[in-house]
Amino acid sequence: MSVHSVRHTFDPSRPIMPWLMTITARRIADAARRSSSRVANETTVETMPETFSGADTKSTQDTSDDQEAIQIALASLSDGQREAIQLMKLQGLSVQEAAERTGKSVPALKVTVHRAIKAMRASLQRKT
Amino acid sequence: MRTEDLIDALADKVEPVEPLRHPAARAMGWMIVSFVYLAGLVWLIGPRADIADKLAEPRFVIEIAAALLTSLMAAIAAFCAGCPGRPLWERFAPFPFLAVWLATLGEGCWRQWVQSGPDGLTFNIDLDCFQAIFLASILQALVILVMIRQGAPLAPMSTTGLATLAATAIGAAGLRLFHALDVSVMILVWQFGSVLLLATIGFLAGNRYLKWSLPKIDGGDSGHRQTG
Repeated sequence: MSVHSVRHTFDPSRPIMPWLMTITARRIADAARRSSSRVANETTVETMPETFSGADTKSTQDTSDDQEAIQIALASLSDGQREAIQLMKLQGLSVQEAAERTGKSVPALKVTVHRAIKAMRASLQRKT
Repeated sequence: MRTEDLIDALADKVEPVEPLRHPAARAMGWMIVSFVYLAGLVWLIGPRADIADKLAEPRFVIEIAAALLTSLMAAIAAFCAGCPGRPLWERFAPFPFLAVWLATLGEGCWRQWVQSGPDGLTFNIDLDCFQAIFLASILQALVILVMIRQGAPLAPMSTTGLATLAATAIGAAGLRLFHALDVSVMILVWQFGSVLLLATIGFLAGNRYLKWSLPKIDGGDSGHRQTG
């Protein structure tokens, strides 16, 4: 394609092989440069075991480990944060219903849930 | 996409090939455009008052001639760089004339040092020179930068660097005809220095300016990539 795109640069009074080889050499050098710059930003890792994201593809042991980690993360929360998570995320109450149950305002409850999730994420990342 | 389909697709879009003219012919065409522009500029601004006296000075004439030859050879070299299969030495053709140009300015600096001592080599900030070089070079720079895109982007940085050198060198030569500055060190720093600075900028911008442009082909497997 490169040869085709610059075919108008060929001078019939000059030999064709230097013209062709120059284009070829340049394109090979360009490809090698792109490849080396791509490889420079990659890191070789060990072969990762294939897995799937669905919960039903996990082994019983994996599922048990996840539940334990979540319980530990929940236990690390403050009482207010734990209550908010249990009402809204585990029991499935709406934010209005949870606000009525806890006596907190809706905005305050939202902030509490946000902070609780952040703290649980940090706890789970530490575990891994 | 199968090779046969690719060939058919290219053949469907083929147009008569207009071969590039010889690099020297293209350079001469560009020089004519540049001379016309500079002649217009000199007519508009008016030549320097002592132009007749200066043209009688051999050193002045050699300086102008060296700048013009640098420009011509740089233009030819830029066009040669876009033609695959041409000898590599052609890209170095302007540098002997650039050396002569630098030598004439250096000789002028030496004379001023002999006459006036170190005081003769002082210079001050004169951005007008840089602006004047830019004004005297802009049209020919635009024209040559368009012309070099017709070639193959084999050596983008060399091609744009040589093209910019050609434009600024002829601009510097024209500048001497209407800009009455004869302090050699000032010419060396602000005019010759501006030429080198702009040529370096052109050189560094080459990879961004000149790139391979491959024809778009429709059809074939959607996942197949044209690698050229």
